[in-house]
Amino acid sequence: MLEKKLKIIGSFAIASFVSILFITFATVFGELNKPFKDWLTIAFGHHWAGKGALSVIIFFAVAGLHWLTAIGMHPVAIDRKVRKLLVALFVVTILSSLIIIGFFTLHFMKMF
Amino acid sequence: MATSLSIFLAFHVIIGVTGVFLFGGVSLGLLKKKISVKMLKLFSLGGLISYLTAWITGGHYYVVHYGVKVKPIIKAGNMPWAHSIVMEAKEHLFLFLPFLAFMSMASIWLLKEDLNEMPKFKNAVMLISLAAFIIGVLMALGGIIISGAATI
Repeated sequence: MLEKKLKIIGSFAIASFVSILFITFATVFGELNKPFKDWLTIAFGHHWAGKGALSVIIFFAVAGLHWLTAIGMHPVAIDRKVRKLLVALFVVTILSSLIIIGFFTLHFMKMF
Repeated sequence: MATSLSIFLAFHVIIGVTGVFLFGGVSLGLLKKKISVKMLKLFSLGGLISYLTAWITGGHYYVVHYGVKVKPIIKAGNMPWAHSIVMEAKEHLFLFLPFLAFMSMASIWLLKEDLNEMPKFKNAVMLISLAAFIIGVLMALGGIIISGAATI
């Protein structure tokens, strides 16, 4: 039972990890590549709404795929694996935040 | 600004700050040796609902009103960086919040008392809740700067 719960949390953690990476990539790439930002605006009404909608779609797709393909593991091993995923999610959140803040600061200073 | 829009924006701020307080409470609650599952379940669910509501109301304001009426005023004023750096970063970091809040809530609701037996795992969930709290604080501070830039 605990193993199943940890597997669900692991699937959500890896899905959040990928979604946050996508948002960071789409944010920076969208500022540097006008056709991509324009496509988001045309397809979703606003580039921000497009990034939000796509990140939610990616979240559910990755969580579902991970849930279906994850191999059964011993509860101790899965505990360690999911714990590492949560720490990795924290680290990627902090790094992505710094990348976004740093990018817009440098972009304002016309360095990009 | 129309009264209805002012109320709408005030609601966005209040509900967002409520989420920040709730995730601050979740982070502190998870630091305890023996956690209060009932409190953590309530705070994490309340925090997630608060952030989602702030996401929808803030998103609606940003897409419909901000870009058309507020952004040009800020960009033409003395603090154009308030939009180009603060608002641009805020709107995108804002997208991280629902995922972090959901992760924290799902971990607490699924594991409940088991978290007491898994101290290292509990600390990892605390880090995710802390990230939801820190980004929430950044959103609130960004909002104060942007409001200041729009009224100067």
